[in-house]
Amino acid sequence: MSADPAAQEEMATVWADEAGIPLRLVWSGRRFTVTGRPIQWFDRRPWWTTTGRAPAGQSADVLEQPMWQVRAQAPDGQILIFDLIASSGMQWPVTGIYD
Amino acid sequence: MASFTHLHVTSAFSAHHGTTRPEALVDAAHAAGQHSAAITDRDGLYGAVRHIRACLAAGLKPIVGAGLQVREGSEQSEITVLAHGSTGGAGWAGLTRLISSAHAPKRGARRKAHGSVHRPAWISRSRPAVFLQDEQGPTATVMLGPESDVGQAVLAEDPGRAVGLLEDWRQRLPGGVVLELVVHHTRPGSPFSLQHAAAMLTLAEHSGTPAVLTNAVRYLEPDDAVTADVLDSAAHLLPLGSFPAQPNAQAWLKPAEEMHRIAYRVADQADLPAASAAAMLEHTEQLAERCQLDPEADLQWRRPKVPELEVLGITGDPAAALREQCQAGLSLRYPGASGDRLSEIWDRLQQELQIIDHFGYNTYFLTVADVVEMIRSSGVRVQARGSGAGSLVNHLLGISTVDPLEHDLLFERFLGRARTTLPDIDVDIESARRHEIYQAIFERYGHHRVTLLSMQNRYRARGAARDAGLALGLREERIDQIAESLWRFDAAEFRKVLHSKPELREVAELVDTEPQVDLLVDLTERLDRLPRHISMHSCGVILGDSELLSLTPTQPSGMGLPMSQFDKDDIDDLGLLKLDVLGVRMQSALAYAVREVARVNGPHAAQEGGLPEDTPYVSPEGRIDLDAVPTDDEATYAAIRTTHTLGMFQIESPGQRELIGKLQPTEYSDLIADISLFRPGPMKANMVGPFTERKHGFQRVDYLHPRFAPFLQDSYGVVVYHEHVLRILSDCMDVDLAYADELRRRLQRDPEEVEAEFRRRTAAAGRFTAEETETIWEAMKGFGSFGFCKAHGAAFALPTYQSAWLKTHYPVEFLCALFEHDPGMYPRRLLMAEARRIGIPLLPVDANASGREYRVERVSAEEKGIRLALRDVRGITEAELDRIVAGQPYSSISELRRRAEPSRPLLMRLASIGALDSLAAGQEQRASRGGLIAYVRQLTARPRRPQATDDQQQSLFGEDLLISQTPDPSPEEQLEAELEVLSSEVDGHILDPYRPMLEELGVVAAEDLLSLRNSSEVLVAGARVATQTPPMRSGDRTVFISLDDGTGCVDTIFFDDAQQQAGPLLFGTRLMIIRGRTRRTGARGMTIQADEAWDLRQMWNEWRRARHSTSSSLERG
Repeated sequence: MSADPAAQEEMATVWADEAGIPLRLVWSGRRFTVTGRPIQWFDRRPWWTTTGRAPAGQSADVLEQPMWQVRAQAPDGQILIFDLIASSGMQWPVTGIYD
Repeated sequence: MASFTHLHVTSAFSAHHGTTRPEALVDAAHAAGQHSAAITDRDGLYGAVRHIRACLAAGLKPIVGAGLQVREGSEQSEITVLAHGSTGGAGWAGLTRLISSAHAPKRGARRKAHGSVHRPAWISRSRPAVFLQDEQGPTATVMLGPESDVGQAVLAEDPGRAVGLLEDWRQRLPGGVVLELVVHHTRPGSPFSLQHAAAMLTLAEHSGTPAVLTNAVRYLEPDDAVTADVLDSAAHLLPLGSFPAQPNAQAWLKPAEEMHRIAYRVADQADLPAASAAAMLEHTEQLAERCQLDPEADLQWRRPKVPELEVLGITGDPAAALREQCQAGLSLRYPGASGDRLSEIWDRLQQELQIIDHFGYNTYFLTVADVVEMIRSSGVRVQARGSGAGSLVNHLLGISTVDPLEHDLLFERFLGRARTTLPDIDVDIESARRHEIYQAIFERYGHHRVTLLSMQNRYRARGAARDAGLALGLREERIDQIAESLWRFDAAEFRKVLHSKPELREVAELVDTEPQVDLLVDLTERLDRLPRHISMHSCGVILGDSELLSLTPTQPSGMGLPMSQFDKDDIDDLGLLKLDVLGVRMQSALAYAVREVARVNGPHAAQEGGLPEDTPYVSPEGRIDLDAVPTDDEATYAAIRTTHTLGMFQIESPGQRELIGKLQPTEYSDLIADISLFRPGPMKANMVGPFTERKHGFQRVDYLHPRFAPFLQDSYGVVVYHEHVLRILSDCMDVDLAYADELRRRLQRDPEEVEAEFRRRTAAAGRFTAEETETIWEAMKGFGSFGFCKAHGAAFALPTYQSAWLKTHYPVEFLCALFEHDPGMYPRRLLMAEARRIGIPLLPVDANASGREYRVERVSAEEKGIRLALRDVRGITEAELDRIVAGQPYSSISELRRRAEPSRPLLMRLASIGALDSLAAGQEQRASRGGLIAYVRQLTARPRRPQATDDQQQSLFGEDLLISQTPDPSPEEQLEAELEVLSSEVDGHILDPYRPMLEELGVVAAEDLLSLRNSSEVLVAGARVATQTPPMRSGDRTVFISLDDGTGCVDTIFFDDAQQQAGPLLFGTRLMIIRGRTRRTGARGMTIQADEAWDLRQMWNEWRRARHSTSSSLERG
């Protein structure tokens, strides 16, 4: 599993279903179709640098970053694995690409 | 509703790891409709008893286990062990002993790295098999989770290794091993990820090992993960971001539905059928059931366990043995009692013995008596504390020195009828010898019947703020600034009090201007009252039968003796005998004073103390039997009444001095009352006022009802003690005293219920009219939780009286003992000021005359002084101390250096405080201090040469230097040297440099305050030696600050306005000037009611600047 430095680009345009699960995406000008079952996982944020308050009982979302890891195939057959930060809207940050 | 039992749950009792109290976790399980709940703290059972208690209360079955580290060579991994239930205690015993084994010191132990993240307890792979099975099979189950060696091999995609390791586990512990799957939705491919769990499930299927699902819970809900981050920071002693943090916030107590979903997800990921998921969930519940404990059968819950009789040397009937010992004690304690008096004593004894026998506590009392006797015969002072002083049996057995009949104390207050577990007897012993005593107890009863008792610290505001500051990476000065203004409030209230407490003004400003401080407040609140670190302090011993170590896990205590992981709140439910053997420095001080009196005065001791020569409690050799001193010495009470009570146990604080000033005690029962009244309840309920008014004759002594007069004599008719309430309730309602004690306890919890019963029974008994009943009830209701147990008070008053007596009759020896053992609330330098005030010469540290300890030294035929000790010289090592003392006397400095080999800095320090002055004396010219210091500097700067020529050459050189013109240090420098080296000043005072300003301002000295009229405006100054926020009648916070100005102690009191003005100065500033009004608090008491406060040093700087510019302008002008 290695990142592809040359083609590193930070955002992807993602189409997701009602449950928020990615179906297909465009990245670096190319289209990809999600294959297999995307894996939802949770990364973390350095909340102590980003948030001003963390009162007890009200800070459930400052720490976690919901992610999707998807396996996607391009029309030319290339398969890549993407780590995407789950977002509202269609622009999702890409934090990792593996082949 | 879906069912799911979480089998892997760490509570806040897992040091710096879990965030939630066991009770809260059980509540959540209960609310979720589960039937059982598990606790698996790291490295021990610290939270287990609370957990079981909470489960029983909620109707859940308790499951207990522990997480342990496994080390094999350089490899480290984790397992979780769950004890099987309903095994007659075998499961619990195996788990307990395995845990103890993990903590036991091992060969080749690694050095312990800093931070609780480095857990010192671990086991090898072979240990579980040793402890966790018997002939019938496994008594516990080992869960191999993602961090086990198997889990790590699976993650590394090394199936061969994984299979091999798993096989090894299963062979060692057949039927006692399961694979534990955990899904924290971490990065795919990392530990605790979905893939990891799927691979573990695959392994389970192929190997035929049962798999269970847990969530490796650390917190109750996702929000708690923030708290967990802060705890991790505290564990690493590093700020957030500089160590690997937890991967996300998934380790919470997830609902059953969610856990079921996860199970199916794992099966799906592993390409296994849904049946695998169902099996996983099934196995989880089966394991849960297997591990459900039966507290009765497995732990003998709440059933008393005491050492076997043979250990105490008792054959035959324990009741008879107890009776015999009491009878022997009777002739000792009440010699010459006869007739009615003897009958009274006898009847009381029979009563108590009956009740003791009824409860089956004979062996308990015999055990405690045995321990106390052992302590006493080692020559160590021992005294019982608490309600046990109310028992005649305790008095006759020698456990308590207080005579319960003399003080009208009640047995029922100590041992009523509601008792199902063992009563509490606490004893105070000499602090300096407590290790010796603990050791002796272990030897007497056997190491398998004794452990030390532990205590746990919890986060308070200050510590919480510090750890929050550390987590955020704030600068140390900022953290100090914030932490040091926090005074005594619950961390959870931080934001609430930020704007109401004047001393927090600056912090409130920081919250508005620095975002990190705003966040710090939130984090501090989160840490409120969590166990801070399981720092084990010993405060007593646990005695049990020979199965003790199967019941409690132990770990090293730092005293060379094992300590139980259970604390005092757990002991009751386990039915163990807890003996609070508290090392109290005051007892050491009393013992030391008595020894010094004998040593220094010998046969003249009585005379020296102003006592008649044939005083019965002073032996011909000069040894005082302190416990035999009669408690009616007028001189002692007179001394107390002066309110110069520094050094007197319990009554030396500023708040107490104010109370003593008002109360003006004349007899022992007044001391008992004083101690009992100095608490929030009585102060608020205005018991003090009537007490003092009546005592001084300003108010008529009145009784709630004439019938009560006989037993309200000791408090001038005011209802103060629990014992009073017991008698009143008993008389009104016609119930026995034991039942009355029960009512008293219930009165606090449920006054209405008790009221109904009170009215009913009193009416039925018919001794009082309706009106009288009303008045009595009002008094009882108002009593609420305010009363104090007189037995407690009587026990406490004894060392108070004894210390006061010693200070009165043997002030030199007594103060010497206080220097030596430093027992009270004040620093040694203030005690030295007190010595000066009394006129006791303080003899400086001297290389020949000083010993290791503080000692009394005769200065002349009429005068004795206190020789300061060598050991308080900063930086002196034990070895140096030994050598210097062993080689005394020295005839020169070079001889000292040669024979005792002090380090250079030490020798310089000794020179700077004059300890070498006497060694240089004998020259024709008087050696100057300056010359001496220069000499030592030269001496120690030279390279070492062969011994023979050394002395000769050095003395030649030395003479010149000693006589030289090297200037002496100035008084300020002298003071500084003393302060630096000794942390007290012998010759001057820390305030001396500021005297010019203080004089100009008209600051009044402490010793002159009493001559001022009441309510006059005054300026006082000094170094802060004590801060107190004692209970006050109004309930508002009042701050007492005591200042030492070299002539005595000034007590100042800050009410709300003054607190507002003082702000950050209130708790932080050391040297202060205060403007206020004098306030007489009785015949001899004087407090200054503060209006304004200033930082003395700041004021000094301004004053000097002003003077300088004035003088220079004068010059110019």
